[in-house]
Amino acid sequence: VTRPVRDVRRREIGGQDPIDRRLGVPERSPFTWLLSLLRTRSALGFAPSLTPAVIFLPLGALLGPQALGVIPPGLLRGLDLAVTLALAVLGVLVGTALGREIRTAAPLFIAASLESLVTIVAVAGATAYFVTATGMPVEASVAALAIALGLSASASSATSADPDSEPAAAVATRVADLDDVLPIVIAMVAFLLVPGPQGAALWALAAAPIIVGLAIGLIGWLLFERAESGAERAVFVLGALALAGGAARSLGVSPLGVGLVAGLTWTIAPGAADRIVQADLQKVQHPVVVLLLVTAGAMTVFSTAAFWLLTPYLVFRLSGKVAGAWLSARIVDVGPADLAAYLMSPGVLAVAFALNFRQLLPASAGDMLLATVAVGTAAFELFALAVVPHWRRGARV
Amino acid sequence: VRRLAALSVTVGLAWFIVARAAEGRGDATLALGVALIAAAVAGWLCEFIRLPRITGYLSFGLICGPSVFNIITSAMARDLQAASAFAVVVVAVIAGLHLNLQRIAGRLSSVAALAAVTMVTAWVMLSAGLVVLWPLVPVAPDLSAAEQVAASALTAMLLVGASPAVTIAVISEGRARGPLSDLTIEVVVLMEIAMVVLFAVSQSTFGVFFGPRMPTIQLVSVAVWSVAGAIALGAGCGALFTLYLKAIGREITVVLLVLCGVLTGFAAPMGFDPFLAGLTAGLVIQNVRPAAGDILHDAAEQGAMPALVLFFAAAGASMHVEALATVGVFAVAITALRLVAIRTGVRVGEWATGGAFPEAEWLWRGLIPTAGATLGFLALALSALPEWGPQLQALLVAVVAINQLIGPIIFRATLAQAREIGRSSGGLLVLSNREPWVHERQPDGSIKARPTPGGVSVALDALMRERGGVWIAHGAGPADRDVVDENNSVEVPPDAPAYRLRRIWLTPYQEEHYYAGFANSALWPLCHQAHVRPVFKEEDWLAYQDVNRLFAGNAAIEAPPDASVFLNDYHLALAARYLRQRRRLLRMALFWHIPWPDIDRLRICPWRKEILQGLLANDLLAFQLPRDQRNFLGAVGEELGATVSGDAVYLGSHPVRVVAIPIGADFDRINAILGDPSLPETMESIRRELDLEERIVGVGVDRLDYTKGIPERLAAIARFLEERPDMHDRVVFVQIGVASRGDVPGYAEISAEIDELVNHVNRRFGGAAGAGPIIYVRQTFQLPQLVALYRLADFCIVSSLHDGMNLVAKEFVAARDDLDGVLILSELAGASEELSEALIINPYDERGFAEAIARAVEMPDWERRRRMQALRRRVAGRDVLAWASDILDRLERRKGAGFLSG
Repeated sequence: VTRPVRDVRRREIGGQDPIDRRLGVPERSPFTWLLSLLRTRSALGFAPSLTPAVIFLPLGALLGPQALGVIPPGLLRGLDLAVTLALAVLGVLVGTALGREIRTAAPLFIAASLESLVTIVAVAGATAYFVTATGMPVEASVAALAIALGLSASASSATSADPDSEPAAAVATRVADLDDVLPIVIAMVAFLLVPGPQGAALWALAAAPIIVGLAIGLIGWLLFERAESGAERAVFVLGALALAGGAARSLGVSPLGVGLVAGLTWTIAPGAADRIVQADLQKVQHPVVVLLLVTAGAMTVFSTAAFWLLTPYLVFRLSGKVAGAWLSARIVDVGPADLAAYLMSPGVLAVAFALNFRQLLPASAGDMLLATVAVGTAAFELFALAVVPHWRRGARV
Repeated sequence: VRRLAALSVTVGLAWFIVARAAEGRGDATLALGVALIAAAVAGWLCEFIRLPRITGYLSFGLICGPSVFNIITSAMARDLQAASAFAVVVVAVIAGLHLNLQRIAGRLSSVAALAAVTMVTAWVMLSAGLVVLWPLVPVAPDLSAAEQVAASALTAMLLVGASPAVTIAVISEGRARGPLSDLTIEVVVLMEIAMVVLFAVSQSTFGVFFGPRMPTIQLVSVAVWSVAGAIALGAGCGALFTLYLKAIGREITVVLLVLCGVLTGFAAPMGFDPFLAGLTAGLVIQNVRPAAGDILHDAAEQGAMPALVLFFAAAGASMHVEALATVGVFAVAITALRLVAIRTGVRVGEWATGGAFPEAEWLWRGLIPTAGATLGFLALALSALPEWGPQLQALLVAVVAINQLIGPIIFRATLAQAREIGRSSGGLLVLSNREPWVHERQPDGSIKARPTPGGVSVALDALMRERGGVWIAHGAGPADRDVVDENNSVEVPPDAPAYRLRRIWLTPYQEEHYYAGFANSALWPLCHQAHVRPVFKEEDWLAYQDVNRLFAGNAAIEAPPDASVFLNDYHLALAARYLRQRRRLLRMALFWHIPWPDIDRLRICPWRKEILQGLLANDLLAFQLPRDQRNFLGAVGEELGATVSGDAVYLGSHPVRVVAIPIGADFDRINAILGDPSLPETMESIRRELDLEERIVGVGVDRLDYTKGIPERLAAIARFLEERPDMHDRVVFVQIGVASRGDVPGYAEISAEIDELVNHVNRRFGGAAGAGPIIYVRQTFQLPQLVALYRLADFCIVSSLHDGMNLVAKEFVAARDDLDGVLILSELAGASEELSEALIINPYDERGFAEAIARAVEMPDWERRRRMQALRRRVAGRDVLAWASDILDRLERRKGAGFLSG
């Protein structure tokens, strides 16, 4: 029996749009080809679907002020606020994944952290060496830029993998979920380097994501389960996420970190807060991902410096992922080559890290970082489509 | 407590962050988060004290805003206002999706006339009033008389408009439906358009008095640009969206958000009215693709709560109440003048349209919130007439603040008064196996409708009479088919038709397998622990599914888009699921009258998962007792892995509220019977007929069902008589037995067993059969006869082996307004949870049961009175109508409709 092709990007883009579901299948029209491009079939022919980054990053770049200008700079500044909220959402998703897995799959977490650490070290080290060696002019501190690139490189999504296609894919999917935890934690610390906090405020800034995340976790835990209707619950969930993003932005800390702590709190705390959040986030996950990617694409300013940084980024991310997979494959009992191939896809979190640091770095350094990561992400997504092993169109069951 | 704690933490966190953030400036996203959470909780608090939620949102904004505690700083409030502009567009799109031109085409001219006359009259009155007040108001005192008239007219123009955004938000938040809601939306939208045009015209006209700051032609072109541009932008965006719907039709939520974002982003900077642009977009979508428009409207309305919370919180935060300190008295006076002017305007409008809209009587209350454009136009006017200075600004800002605060409260209360809050457009839909009215052929050949006995029928019938709608039930009366129309429907009650009864016809096979089979041979014994083995047959289950589908299919045909549906009892466990598949937006509640078994017993049922899933398709599921509620919550967790949180169950993301709402007796009707002068005569007749004179009378009233514990009761009576020979001639027990479910196996046996036991007891303690202490009457008593019997009794026995509630116990108490009589009640009947002052017995404990009878017989008067007094307090406080209303209130969240509505 051949089952229909599953939408393998579901993990990253969330569930089916609730209004789509009620409206049903649209009538066939001359634009159906556009639908197929956007939704179900690969334009390239060798994979079931394009990942969102491949579509929406170039789309954002096309619509942005650098190209057609449909998204003007003023709107882009407004979208920057929404990006903060979206980053908090991603932090919550990672936090709930961590809370879910940590109880039962500590080895997976260790493997994922090991793999991401190797990639961070490889890319950050290579970047630092390259920038220093070439004397490339960077307005920010080299350490901050290198760490930011390393963290962005460490993200994996395994979205090109069909989790049901084989056991290795299922394990890789979970490793990919968890390998974002360590970078977020490092980012929370790395944020202290960027704005140059003064003296006594340092400890407060270090503790702020945890305290604020716990407070928001508490608010959500108190409210989510007691909502009187789905609409009220949506208000509470949206409010908690906005609070997480807004608090982080106001205090100059990482919204990803605040979201992670809040998500973890909801998972660990008794009750169903985590499941409620996940069910609601399913509905907004796709808009969030699209928003992030289109905004990132529109904000991308291509420069020579970014182009030069791209080479070490691509090479050392590839090396880092391969080496990291080789080390961690022993812990999770998967073939290193398979694991490395699955982890090639950076997913939306890579772009999220870049956007997060871009908010804090000086403009030119931030633009350089975002351009490098955006192009690198699109390149790795395409690369992942080709290298993901044993992928079959409509797996046999 | 949890909400208050969350509110405290949210406000505390925001205060902490704002205090520590760079330059004390919080972020817009932070303001958004605080506003959403804290305002929503404040809204809930307001509902708790019977104020509209919207007042809570506004109050939160006001209290936390820059005018009071400054937790939301001025900068944050500005950012929030920007986000609020998006909310206004969302509200406008919802309003546009609400307006189907085909539906309103016939009345458009009348509505336009009503709006125009209202506006002109109110403007003239307000202008006249302001001319009189002008010398007292601290604004531009040096104006000449002619200038004062012109200034008053211009100020009146600023104040005469109503706020479509607030009006529609109040309607959406309250899920209001009805003629008043529709009329108010239509009128405020037309007034908004008129205001944009008239303001420009009036300003240019009055420029004659104050010197032409801006050429007339330019002012008119600004107005035309604002209106026509907004319509063009909205129509263009709406058309593009419609094309997208048709051609691609995917990721609609994202594209809808983009549509609202584009309208927000482009309208205001280009000088277009954002509300009008959003309204036009919605209007185009609705009228080009009505089917999709309806779905989008429902989806947008459901998802609109965050936008509404934000809109009102932002409005509250931007209110400058400090102005009240300086110009408060004048602001109050002008507000009062405005209310009088608008009310008079509506009156004149009603007269002008020949009373075409009966609901227009209340329309003025929907026009109280001032137009969103007022402050914008004020700024425009002040830029043209700077010498009017900040005094006029302070005054009008204060007037707007007062109107915005009181407007939503009054309008929501009015909607509640008009019974449009939480109401579906087509009333109520009831589904039950048993019909409320049965048609029977009389001996003379005529057909007569007879109400079905039973408290539930009476209560639901009363609700249907009040609200209207459709009742769908199995047509089982002998002449039912002879009176229905082509839709199998008949208007009932026959004397004053108030709702429609749609009958469903079952084949003999369906009756056998659905009713006698699965419902009463499987579910009934499964749920009642009375040692009768449930029988699960595949063919019964299939018939049960078929009949539930049949009910759902008929309901899907009858139900208006967002109707409330009440499903009654265990016969219809699957109907909600089938109905939900066809009509997703219906609000459904099911009341499960019988007990819900514990998980171990439930596992006997091979189709338990399907039944649980069917029940979880409801929005509200009500049981008699907290014990049943707990059993059910445990079952869904165990069997379906559903998430249970408090009293909510999540299967997927659909929340189902599971509650215990015990049913009550028809207290009012019994009271009415007690006040009927014919009651003593009925009592005397029964006393004579049953030979009850000078005897201690016990009574039991039951369907002949194995769960009622009748054999155990007879055994206890026999034991009592055996132990008390002195009572043989003094005590008589009247057992009313109503034949029931004769076609269900088990019922014939219990009937035969009771016959034999009665004969045995009478032979043993009496003389010939029929002359003993047990008087067994096998017939149905109507309620007046039952009340008379209850009044004759010294004690009443309810000895159920397992019972959801048992209304006989409550009816007996309701009938005893003389405060006499003793109730002996089984602890296994649900009623025992409430009626603890009864003599509680265990029907399996024959000795204890017999002792309770002895105690009842010998109980002193003072104790009987004390117990009955306490019992009556409980029964009177919760009658069957309150029970039905409570379920629907919870389903529709009509609670807290507003203190003005009482």
